Amino acid sequence: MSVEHNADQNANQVSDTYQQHYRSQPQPATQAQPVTQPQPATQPQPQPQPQPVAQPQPQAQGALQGKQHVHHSYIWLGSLRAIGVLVIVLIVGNIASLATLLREATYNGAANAMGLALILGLGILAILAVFGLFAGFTALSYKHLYYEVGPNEFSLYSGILSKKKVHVPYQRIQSVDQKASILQRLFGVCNVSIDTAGGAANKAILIPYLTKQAASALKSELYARKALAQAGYAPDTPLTPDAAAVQPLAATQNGQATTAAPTGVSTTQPADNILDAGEQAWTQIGGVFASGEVALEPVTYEYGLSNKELILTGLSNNSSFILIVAVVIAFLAQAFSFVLDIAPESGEFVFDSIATSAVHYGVMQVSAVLTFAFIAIVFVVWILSSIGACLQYGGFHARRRGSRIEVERGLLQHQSQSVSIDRVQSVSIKQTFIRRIFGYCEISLGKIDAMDGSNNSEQAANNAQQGMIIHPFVKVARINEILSGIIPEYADVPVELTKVSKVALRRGIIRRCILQGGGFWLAVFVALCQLTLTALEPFMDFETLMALLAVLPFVNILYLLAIVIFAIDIVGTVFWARGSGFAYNKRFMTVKNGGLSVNTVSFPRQKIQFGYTRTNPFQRAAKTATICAVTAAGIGGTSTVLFDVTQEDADRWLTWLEPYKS
Amino acid sequence: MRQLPSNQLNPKIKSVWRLSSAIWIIIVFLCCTLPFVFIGIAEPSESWALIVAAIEAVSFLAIFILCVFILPPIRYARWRYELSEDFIDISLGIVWRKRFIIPFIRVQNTDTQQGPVLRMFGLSSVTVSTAAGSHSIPGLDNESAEQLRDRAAELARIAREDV
Repeated sequence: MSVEHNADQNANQVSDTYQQHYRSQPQPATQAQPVTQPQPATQPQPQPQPQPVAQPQPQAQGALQGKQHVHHSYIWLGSLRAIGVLVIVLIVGNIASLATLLREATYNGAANAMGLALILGLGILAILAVFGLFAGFTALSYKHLYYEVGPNEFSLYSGILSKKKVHVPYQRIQSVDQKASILQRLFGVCNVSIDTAGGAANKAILIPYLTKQAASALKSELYARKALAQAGYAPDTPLTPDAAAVQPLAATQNGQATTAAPTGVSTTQPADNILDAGEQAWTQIGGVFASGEVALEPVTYEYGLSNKELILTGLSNNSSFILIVAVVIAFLAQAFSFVLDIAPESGEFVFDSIATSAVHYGVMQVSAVLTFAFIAIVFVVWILSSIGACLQYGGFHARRRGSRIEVERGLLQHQSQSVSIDRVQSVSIKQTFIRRIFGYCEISLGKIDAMDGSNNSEQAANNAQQGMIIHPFVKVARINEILSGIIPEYADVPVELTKVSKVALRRGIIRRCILQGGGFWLAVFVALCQLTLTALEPFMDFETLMALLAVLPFVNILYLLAIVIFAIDIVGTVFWARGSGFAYNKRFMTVKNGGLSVNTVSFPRQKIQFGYTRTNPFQRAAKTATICAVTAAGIGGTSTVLFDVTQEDADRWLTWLEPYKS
Repeated sequence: MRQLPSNQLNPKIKSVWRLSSAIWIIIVFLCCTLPFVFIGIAEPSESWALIVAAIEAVSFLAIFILCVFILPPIRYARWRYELSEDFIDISLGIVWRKRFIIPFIRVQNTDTQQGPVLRMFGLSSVTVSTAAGSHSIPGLDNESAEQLRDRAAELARIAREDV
């Protein structure tokens, strides 16, 4: 505390106010203390600092001064998880030897059963020992893991032997997000990650296992300090530091321990769905160590998902389309081979003369069974993935709070993300084919993503590609309403599209259906294989021929598949050439790429890091060019590309890209 | 058609390109070919090895002529840049031509680099980095490189810090 006071008078006042505010929380433990009147800043804290973690809510009393340890569930929950993984690995790894042991035991009677019990017992002991070791290790690292909210920067210390310190100046903090696995939710703890400003390859700082209450206290503290730091350094920043620093205090003076501020919320009527009840139950129960949350700025706009939207989100998620296509193809293939069976001449090949009808019939039956098994499996997978998606979006809420947009979702694994309006790089509206049929779309925001400290980089990359989804499934007609509510800054995005060039259709068919066309290359590949086989045919013995014969129906299926894909490509290209284009006005640019699925991206001119046009000789002959605007969204930037606009449009766009002469 | 940017690189860059691609091609050529030559010498019965070596030699000669004699002048003619008050305008490419507009206020940092070959010719290459990727202008004499760096640094100060 004393360090804090010597350092920065300004920061001091705010943090003192915050302390009062925390102490005025309606918790029985704190009610006993004298709370309300403004205390001199130097008043000694009544709580002893050394073991704040053992108490249910350390943040409410000691505020955020000095070293703060994470919650003690870090030790046992963390080691429990690691041991779970270890046990599974052990069982999977030794399943063979276990089975042998079991068999021997059943054959050889009591003596071996004793031996088995002994071995099992030893195994459990060993696992317990490892658990102990691991827990000890985690306990040790827990002791060395703490964070500090200093006068000028946030610091995280970790490491037993090799110490690691991370310092973040407050004005560099971009967002403080929470994520909780299902186990963590049970106990009311979560992981907090702090995103910092930075270009490519910046890493988020991960603080594991904070109680929810500590997490939101830390969050509001960091945001307030950030606002203050920005006010100190650059008075004319668009963030309103007064509101950020003072409002939250007012919002909780009445002691309501809820996230939603009681006043000032007018336009919000979050839609309810079946999973919201579960989500609310989670929030109410909160988990073992959770307690009241600290309120932030008032919410000005909020929405959830309705039942219909939630279920359709699940049913129409990305994997569904692929699965449905798979089913259709399998079905077509089955029908096709059935036709072949009735009229064998139509699909005759060199080997057909050797084939006995019995073999053929057997092949047909097997393939029919296989097909229906496949369809059944696909159906089950689809249902499962739909349920998965529903759970993922259960409890979905997006809200505008001051200058930030917050999204939280996940019934089992909960995560809440937020982004400052200044950091939103783009707004994109995506319609996959299925969603397009129903007239729905997904709205997401592009933001600069940090590498997550965790090891599942694939998932992180996936998330980055999606951006921050602010509505997974919304009727096209409601887009404007939602955007003007949650992100009114993007109100005047241009809508009058400059279409792609007329020759774009021809060039698009060459590019999308042939050069990048899966169907075309599949047909080429199959034809090549067939040619090779035909050439080798005289050298083969009877059995190989019979084996090949079994494969024969599939060759036709592959050709059929190629034709279907090619046709889909062509239809998609025609749609693309008709519906694609770009538009720009003084502040914004929009690029729409049509096709079977439609993707519209809008971004402010200010967020374009650089732009370029590119041409190849054919494009120069056709007087077209490809335009490409690069923003910093995602990890390492995102380029938004539109092929084959006319040369003049491209040149005009380049001129628009030049900064205005000052 | 948009006017091409006015400045060309320093003509010495052609020699730089020639020298560096010559070095690379010779190194790769030696790595690929020497084993076959050794096999051919050690085992005169394995005549295929020498044939392979000969084919490699011919193809590498073709690549060498292309990269050292033909491409550099064309690339030099196509490579143009212009530093205006607020932005960098770059046009480059022989077959696939690209035209970049990079506003100075988006530039986060500017580096100058000098490899041994560049230093031999008294040139530096300047790299401007934005939050979403970087661009380098390869052959600038040291003075204009300094100028460019100063300009970018000055304008970057004016720009807002956040992206």
